[in-house]
Amino acid sequence: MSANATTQIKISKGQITLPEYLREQYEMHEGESILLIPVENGIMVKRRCDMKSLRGSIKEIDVGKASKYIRKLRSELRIKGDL
Amino acid sequence: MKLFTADAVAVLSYLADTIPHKSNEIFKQAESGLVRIQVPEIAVGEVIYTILKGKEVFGVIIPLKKILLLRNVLETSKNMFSVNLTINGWRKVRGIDLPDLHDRMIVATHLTTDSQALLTDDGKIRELKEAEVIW
Repeated sequence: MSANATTQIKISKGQITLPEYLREQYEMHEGESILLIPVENGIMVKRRCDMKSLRGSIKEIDVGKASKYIRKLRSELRIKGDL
Repeated sequence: MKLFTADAVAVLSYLADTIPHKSNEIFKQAESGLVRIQVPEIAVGEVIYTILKGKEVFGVIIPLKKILLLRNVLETSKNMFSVNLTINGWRKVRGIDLPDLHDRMIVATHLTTDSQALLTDDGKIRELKEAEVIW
């Protein structure tokens, strides 16, 4: 089955069964909680993403340069006195 | 569960895995599910914008899929998520003694939620009496 193929399934007593190939493809295991996220035209099904996967995920970042750049961005929206 | 607020530089330092010890301890606790870290929406914007400007800022193009991973985590993680500034927060923005609007929004988010401390390297925020800062 193609990764992007649309799959039709039936609702039975309010429940749906995700096809095995999709559970395997997205590593959804028995008993695991998944998220149902309302989006514009339906419901998105997602696994929780572990925040640890972010640590060190962008080694290209030079924090000194990033900090300087962000400070410059912030200074472009400077307020004189009270709002 | 304790809640902390991270600004853009804190998040970028985490992404680069170069975050200083004290803030890193908070991130480690969040990874273990012991605390939660909220990222104000304006800080999310700054992070994404800085990454998109990778060529200009760091001299390298950063693949878009890395931004998608960040978005996925912020959307689905229990312990690291984005937070909107409420109307109550905007009321708070008015009285914060900082020149930059972004800084005021980040501090207002911290002050109007149950946040214990702000994770930031910002010297001006550190000087504020009303905001507890960890870096």
